[in-house]
Amino acid sequence: MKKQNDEACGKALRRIADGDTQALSDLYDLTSKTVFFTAYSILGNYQDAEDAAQNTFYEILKCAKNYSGGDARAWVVSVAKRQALKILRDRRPVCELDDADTEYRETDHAENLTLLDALDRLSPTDKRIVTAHVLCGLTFSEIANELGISEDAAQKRYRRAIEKMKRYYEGN
Amino acid sequence: MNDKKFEKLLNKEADKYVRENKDAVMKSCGVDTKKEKPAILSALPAVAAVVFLFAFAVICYIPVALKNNGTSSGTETAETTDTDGIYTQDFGTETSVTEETETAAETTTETTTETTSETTTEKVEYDLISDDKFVEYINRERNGEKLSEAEIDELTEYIDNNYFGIDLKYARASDDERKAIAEERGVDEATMNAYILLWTDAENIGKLEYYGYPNMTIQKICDIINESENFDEIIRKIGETDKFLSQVWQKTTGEYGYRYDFKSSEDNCYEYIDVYPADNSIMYHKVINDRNSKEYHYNYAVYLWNKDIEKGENHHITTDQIKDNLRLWNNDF
Repeated sequence: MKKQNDEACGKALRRIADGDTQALSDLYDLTSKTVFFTAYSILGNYQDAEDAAQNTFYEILKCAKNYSGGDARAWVVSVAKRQALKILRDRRPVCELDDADTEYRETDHAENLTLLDALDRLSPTDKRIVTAHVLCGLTFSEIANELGISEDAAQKRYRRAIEKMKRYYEGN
Repeated sequence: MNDKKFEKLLNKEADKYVRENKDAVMKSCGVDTKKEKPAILSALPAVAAVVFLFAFAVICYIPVALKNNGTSSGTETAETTDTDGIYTQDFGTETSVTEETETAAETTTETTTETTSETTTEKVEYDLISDDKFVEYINRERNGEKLSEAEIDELTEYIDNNYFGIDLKYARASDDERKAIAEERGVDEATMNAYILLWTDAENIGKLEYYGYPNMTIQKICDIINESENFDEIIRKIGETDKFLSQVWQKTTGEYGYRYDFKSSEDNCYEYIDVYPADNSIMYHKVINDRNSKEYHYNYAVYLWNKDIEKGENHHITTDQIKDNLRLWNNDF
């Protein structure tokens, strides 16, 4: 499945490089979730992640010719990550609150809440761990590596974050 | 809810979220997804509606027609049973369709989850800009050292692979050579210049000895603005000063902008100006970094030029004015 998916991504990238802009739609179907949530895990909010996703696909449209084969999905993710970092660098007007300031608030209530709302209520680090593991498919070892913590700690944080999300989601 | 179910549900919501965003993203990229539907597909809902109405009419008509035939009571009983049978079958079909749809949705979700977990096993290599050699070359070059042809080729290849749109050879080319390159690529020189990206990601801020190219300073921008009559003249002069350090982006509204990075006279800072052709404005940004933390920076900005300033009598700006008017930049600026 992974291989097929990657082949389809590669094919779509080559079609885009050949000027078939409609292939971007296919590429979007294949990669948008990973693109969006990779950006979200870096930026920590949906609005910026949407901008990063838009910039990513726009960039791909312009630069697909630079794709020279290999893991197409990873190539797309690298573009997404760069776009997210660019937004992080350029757009953030003030410093991020630290984990303690944005710690999950169990008393918050919202109507029509979704799991994505619950995710958004987590602290930046927890958000990053859950997104990376569930939506971007990274292993705990990879997450631990990125965050500079032990694999065990990453797993524990993940479990705690999931419990918080569940409480929030099911409690409402 | 167990963890698997929870993860599945989160994936499902995420799928829905990105699906809902697709039109906006495609639109911002100038891709009309509706175009790709062949005419027959566009007509499908109408065709389906006609077929459904026809089938419905037939279903409703059969029992009535049979009833109106005026046969024996025994037949009538049989027909009633038939009628019931038809309706029962109809509901049955509907239920079955619903089940199929649910199964299909379920399968989609499972497929996605499967893909996700398979991706997990393969380490994704992000080609972030962290190559010390690249930093070394850039710094040597910015310090006026001439790199060898082989080094330039190596650096060009690196940049081509890691920064999109950069062509170092273009940046170093003469005006005539640039024209030829742009022509070869089927774009005008201004567009070509705008595609030259030179930025480094947050992880590398502080690694380079300085950011951007030396010809541009805030004083130089003030001079250009003060010497120019209008917006076009300003951006032309800025372009002449440092042609190859601009980067272009497409804002969410679909319009283009240009960014010119330059060296900051202060430590832990970088400066740039953003040019927005759509509303003839230029904004100066000063970003102060804490080099110990890539997550941490403050972006201050001030308009150097916009339509209001253009209409004003006195266009003269000074670096002091800029400093005094800088304030934290945000989306409401």
